Amino acid sequence: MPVKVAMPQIDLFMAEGTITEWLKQDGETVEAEEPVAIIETSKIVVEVESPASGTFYKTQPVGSTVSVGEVIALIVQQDEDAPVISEVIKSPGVEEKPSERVTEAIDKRVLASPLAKKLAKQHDIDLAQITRSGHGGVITKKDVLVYLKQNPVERDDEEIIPLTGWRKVMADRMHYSLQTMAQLTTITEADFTELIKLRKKLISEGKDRISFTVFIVKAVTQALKEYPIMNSSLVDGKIIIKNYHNIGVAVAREKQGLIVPVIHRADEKSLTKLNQVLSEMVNNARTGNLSIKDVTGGTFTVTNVGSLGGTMSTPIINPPESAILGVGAITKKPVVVDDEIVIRSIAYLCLSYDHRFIDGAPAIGFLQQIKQFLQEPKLLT
Amino acid sequence: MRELTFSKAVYEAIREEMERDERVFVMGEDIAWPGNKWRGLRDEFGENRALNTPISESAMVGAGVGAALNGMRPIVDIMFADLLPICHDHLSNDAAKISYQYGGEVSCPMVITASIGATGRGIGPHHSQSIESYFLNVAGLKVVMPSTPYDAKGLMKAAIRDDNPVIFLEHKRLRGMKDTVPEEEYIVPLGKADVKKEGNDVTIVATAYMLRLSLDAAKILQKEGISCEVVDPRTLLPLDEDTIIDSVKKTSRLVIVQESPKAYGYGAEIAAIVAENALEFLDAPVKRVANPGTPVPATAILERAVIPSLNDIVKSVKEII
Amino acid sequence: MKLTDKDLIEMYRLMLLTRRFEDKTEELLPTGKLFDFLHTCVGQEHITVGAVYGLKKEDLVMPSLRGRGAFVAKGVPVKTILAVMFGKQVGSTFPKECIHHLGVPERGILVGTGLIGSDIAKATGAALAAKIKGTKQVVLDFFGDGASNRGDFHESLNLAAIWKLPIVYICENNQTAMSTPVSVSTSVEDIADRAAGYGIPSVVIRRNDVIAVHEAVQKAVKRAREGGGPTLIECKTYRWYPHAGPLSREKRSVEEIEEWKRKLGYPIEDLKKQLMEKTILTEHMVEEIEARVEEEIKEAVEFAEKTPFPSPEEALKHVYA
Repeated sequence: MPVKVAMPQIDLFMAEGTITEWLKQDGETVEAEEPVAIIETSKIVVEVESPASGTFYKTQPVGSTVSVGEVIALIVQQDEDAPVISEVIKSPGVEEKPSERVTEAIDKRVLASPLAKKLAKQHDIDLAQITRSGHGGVITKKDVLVYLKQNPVERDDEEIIPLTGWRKVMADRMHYSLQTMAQLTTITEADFTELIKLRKKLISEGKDRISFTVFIVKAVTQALKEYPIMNSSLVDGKIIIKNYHNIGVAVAREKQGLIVPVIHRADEKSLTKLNQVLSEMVNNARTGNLSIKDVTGGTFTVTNVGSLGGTMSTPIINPPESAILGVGAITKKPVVVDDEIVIRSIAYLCLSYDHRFIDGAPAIGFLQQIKQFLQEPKLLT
Repeated sequence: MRELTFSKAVYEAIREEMERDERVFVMGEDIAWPGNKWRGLRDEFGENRALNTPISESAMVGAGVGAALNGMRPIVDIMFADLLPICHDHLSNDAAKISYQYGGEVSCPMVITASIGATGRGIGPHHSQSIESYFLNVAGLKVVMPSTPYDAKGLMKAAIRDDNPVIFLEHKRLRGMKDTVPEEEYIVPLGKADVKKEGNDVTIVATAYMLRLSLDAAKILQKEGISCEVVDPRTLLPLDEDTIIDSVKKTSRLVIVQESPKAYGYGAEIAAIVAENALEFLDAPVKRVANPGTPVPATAILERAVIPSLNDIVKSVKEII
Repeated sequence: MKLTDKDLIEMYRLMLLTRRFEDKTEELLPTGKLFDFLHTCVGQEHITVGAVYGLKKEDLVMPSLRGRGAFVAKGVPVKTILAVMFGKQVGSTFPKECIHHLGVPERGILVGTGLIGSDIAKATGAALAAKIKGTKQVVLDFFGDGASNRGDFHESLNLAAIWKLPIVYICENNQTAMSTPVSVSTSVEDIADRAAGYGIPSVVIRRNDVIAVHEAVQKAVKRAREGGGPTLIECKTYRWYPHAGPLSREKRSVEEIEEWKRKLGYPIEDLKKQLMEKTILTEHMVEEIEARVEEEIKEAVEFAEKTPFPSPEEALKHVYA
């Protein structure tokens, strides 16, 4: 029996992928784990590896969109014959009846009453789109009106963007997140004055320009050590507390929306290392070069709304995580220090958490801890 | 206001016009017979203006044309419209063409009255036809087919005053129909249709007795939520195209009812007019309810099988809603 | 009325004018300028001239197919007749009919028909109108032997008889209806005998004698005018030329035609001889009349040539009054 290569499930929400390129030819020998195809999902482009060694035969043409789990190629083992593809992968109901083609041509001629034609023309509707209900399969005025109701006409002063691809994925994720969790956001201010000073100092010393996000990630990982509940998932009635910190950093892409590359084991990385990894990831995100691993496995997410100019937000948790930290823009503000008004660089820290199982005490404690680390950056190691 | 029967309304029109204009005279068979519809005219105006003719339909109509050429305004009664083919030469070759032949200098102001339609009793193929189609294609003739006593009186007066030959067709089943008819003078102009009932879902065009059935059908259909607009052309030639076109533009559906055989009847003309002028307003095929293409048989049960019925009209409307 | 010399000369002139005109049209036919069939009355001029001469102005005439003489005798200028034959528009409107059937209201000529015999009913109707109006008009109705077999002939004579209409029926029996000899088509030798079938007096004139025709017609006209009713006058004559112009098919032999001419006489020649014998006409007068007739014909041709054609829009006018 040949080994099947199936469309992989890359993330939680993936339903189908498109085969953009076959890397092997029919009859070619492949080794296990050798990439045989490039597939594209709504979020990323990835390689599919062969699960076994043997002779490769594809079962889907390039460009086809295939559901997750469906066979896309076969790896024929040594002593087997080449498969008859039609036998193996033909899905039911795809047979073509040549004789139907003729009637199809006639049927393709759309019959509509003169009034229906006039209405359709007025509203710039293609008659082929309209469902017929009239006598003898003729489109009548009623059918056009039904269509118009279901497909309101585009206005000159409106732009219509269908919710497909990555947009749909994002919509589904956000909705799912809010539907399943009991989210609330707690907010505090943090004084970034010292951190700014430190950063400037490092730069003047010729060291790397470490982004604020990196400091925040560091602060988060350190705080998570104290409050591990913030780094967990509620799955099938069980709280799974993860002892590794895979911190996702939200990156806005111009055309494809939000993506969250994940810095795996951020707790084990130095500031410098974090900085390097993060800038690489952000770059890859923007150029579409992230791998599956880059976008999976997160345990906590940081989102820098401030980089876009936002002051405060109530970020939506990234499932299956249970908390997310949003950081607003750093602005100079008058604050009271030792009963005196001084100008300090202040930013809001907004923590959303899943209140189904995380209480306010650990959440606020966690947030305050982050705040402390950021206000006293020498505490960050 | 008083009520008159259809027959009386027609009589009154003729009587008033004969009084008003001494050039108007009538001729017909059996009118000297006591009780005949026009006997009263003979009594009132004398036998010179109400002539009792022999069975000479062709010469009667021919003489009518000749009398018109010499300044009179004859009304010739042909008992059964089924006889009109005998007179066709004088109607279509003479009467219809007088004005044209004279370049407009002389015209033929003649009215022919004739009874049309099945009676319901099945009195046979030569006394039951609806033959308006024979004349609708003749340039120079006018053809009138009223459906109410009110319209009948007004149209008869208009016909008599019209300087062209007018064929005035009276449906046998409407003779006894009563309607309020004003005592004051009024005219119903030729060439003008009448919307007898307003509606929104379908236009029904019908004449004479079929018009009455269509109104009944409209009542039945209303109960099922179908709103019919019933249009009475009143004059078939010249036809008031605008009223019909406007109605179809409103309703988007058209059913035409004619008692005559379907092929080449006025339904075909009306359907063509609508196709030419309002095609993009039609939301369903045009339907014609008509005699399927037979002479009218004797005996009631067979006659019923070929004359359009109330149910036929209702069914036809439902087929396109 | 008693015929004066002046009358006789005039009748001669009218017949000559008609003859010369007919010959001119035969001459013009091959030029293609005449758009109509040519039905000349050559050899029969005495009937129309003799009958029409002496009528009152208000009396009406329905010419037969070969009725040129009636137009001429009624005073229609030959130039007008020829212009119409050329298809030109003489008056302000264009009567859309051929010359043979043209109605000329100002001369009391009723419009005919292209259908042989139908006009008998129309003429009868004109007489009916005269009776009803009480105008004392008389109608002369000309027709050929063929028409006397038409239904309308029989119906009309019956009507004229029962109502005592002021009409004189004049049958120009020229022995042939198109190609069919009267001997094979007509049940009686003397068509005048049919009058008895309708209780109408009749006269047969057996020679091409204009005076005989005139006297018989005058008698009948007087009778009609006085309310005595119709008369049927049969004039035995012969068609000298083919049915529809020199090129139409002719079954009759030259001998046959010559024999009939001898039998019945020469309408114009015989009168001329008679008048010259009585010195009512001199050579000089004959020449003068001849010259005037020539001049009139020449003028007619010029007039017909220069008169304009009608515009195509005329075809659409006068369908209705």
